[in-house]
Amino acid sequence: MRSRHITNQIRTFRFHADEMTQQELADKVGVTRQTIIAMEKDKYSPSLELAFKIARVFNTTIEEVFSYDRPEN
Amino acid sequence: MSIQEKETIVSLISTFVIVTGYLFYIDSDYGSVTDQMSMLTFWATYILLLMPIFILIKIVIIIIFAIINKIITDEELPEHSDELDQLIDLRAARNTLIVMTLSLLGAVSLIPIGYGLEAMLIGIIVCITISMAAWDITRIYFYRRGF
Repeated sequence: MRSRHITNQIRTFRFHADEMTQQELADKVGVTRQTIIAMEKDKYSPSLELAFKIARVFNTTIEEVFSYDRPEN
Repeated sequence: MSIQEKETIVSLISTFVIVTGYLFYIDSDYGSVTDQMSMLTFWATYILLLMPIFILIKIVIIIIFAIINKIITDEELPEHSDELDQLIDLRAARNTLIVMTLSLLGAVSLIPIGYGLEAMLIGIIVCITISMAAWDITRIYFYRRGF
């Protein structure tokens, strides 16, 4: 599996948002549940727009939800 | 396994089933072929008919799959495709185009190497089939691996 440098805390934020379900989050940001699952498993790095939408759902900043690990050269 | 993966696997299997069934069906009409002109007319007609029949049967199969899946898992097919679906579809379209171009070249090259016109026409049907399969295989690959 290829290494991914963008990780996220979506699962944690969902837990702190009264155990919001993946489907509820998907409906709020306008994607399918499959996309939320892929992001939580770090199998998909979302677009900037989607990242902002997710951060806004949790009333936080994009940096709190997503982090970028710069690859070693 | 996600519903998109299940749908794509159903689509992949149905591609081969539809084309195989279609070839068996047209085989019964092959007796009308007497010379090269009638053979050309025969294959041209059935290759042209393949596309609308293929699309129609596939739509019916996907609808049946959606109904059965809803009954069993209570999960519905997504009403719209989101950014991940669109990215995967874009990659699938690229791979389909590559496979179709290469297989079409392969089908055409059957003539200069001595296999004849009929082999090329059958090659075109094979070309269409594997191009459709390339679409589904790419989708399954990216839904499983991630993007």
